[in-house]
Amino acid sequence: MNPSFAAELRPPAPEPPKPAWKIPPARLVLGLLLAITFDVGLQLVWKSAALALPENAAPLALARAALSNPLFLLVIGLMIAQFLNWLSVLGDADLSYAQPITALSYPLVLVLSATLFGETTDPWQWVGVAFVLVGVGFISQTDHLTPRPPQEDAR
Amino acid sequence: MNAASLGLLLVVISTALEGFGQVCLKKFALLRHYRWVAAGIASLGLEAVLYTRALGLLHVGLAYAVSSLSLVAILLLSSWMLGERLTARRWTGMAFILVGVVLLTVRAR
Repeated sequence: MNPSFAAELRPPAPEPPKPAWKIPPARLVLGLLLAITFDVGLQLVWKSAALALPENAAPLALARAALSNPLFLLVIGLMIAQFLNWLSVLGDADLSYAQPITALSYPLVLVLSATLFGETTDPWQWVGVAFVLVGVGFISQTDHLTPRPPQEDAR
Repeated sequence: MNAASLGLLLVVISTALEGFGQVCLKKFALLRHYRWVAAGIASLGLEAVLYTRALGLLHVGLAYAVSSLSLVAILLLSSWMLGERLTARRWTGMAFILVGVVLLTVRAR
């Protein structure tokens, strides 16, 4: 038999299995860690700032009180830092991949709010947060970027 | 409506605004059209006002955990507005989050 003809009859070598989950780039990992840190810090400072606001004040007086409070200025600073970091993360990953990962800050805020503000935590809250984290786990076990058609990339 | 219920309602509205704002930011990251970043900032700004009010009514641990509903809003809106895939895993994740938020709010009201 002709050797080239025999090679054509041979079944093609099986392709190596594609990994179900790819390791994200280091820049994306750093961006996600920063996002979690900013999220937790922002929530705790924001709560402190909200507690310092006068109750039942008119909207204008409330806005003036907020803008003269250094804690609110820190909230705005943290929001800006979070926003700039977030834009960088979104440049590297799908929104529906990146956002759920930062949800790891939910249990962190629950623990720190109990420690810092003496907030009482209910067992149901922990069960609820556990469900949220399982949901986050399901969502984040997907690829970090949806493949887009070439014509969309060219725009 | 008591303070806790009002706080929860404000958090739920703010999660919808968060979802829309985040999708706008992703649109800006993809297309670099400034109207998207303006819409995103406006939406997130309004969300900040409502959430500040909610924080005065609720524990931050609870308010922030309930705000995980924004993930559901983001997934649905990013599928609708960005064409990102809604796989079976993402649907399952959303179901778990919804159950989690219901459990979180059982004792809150």
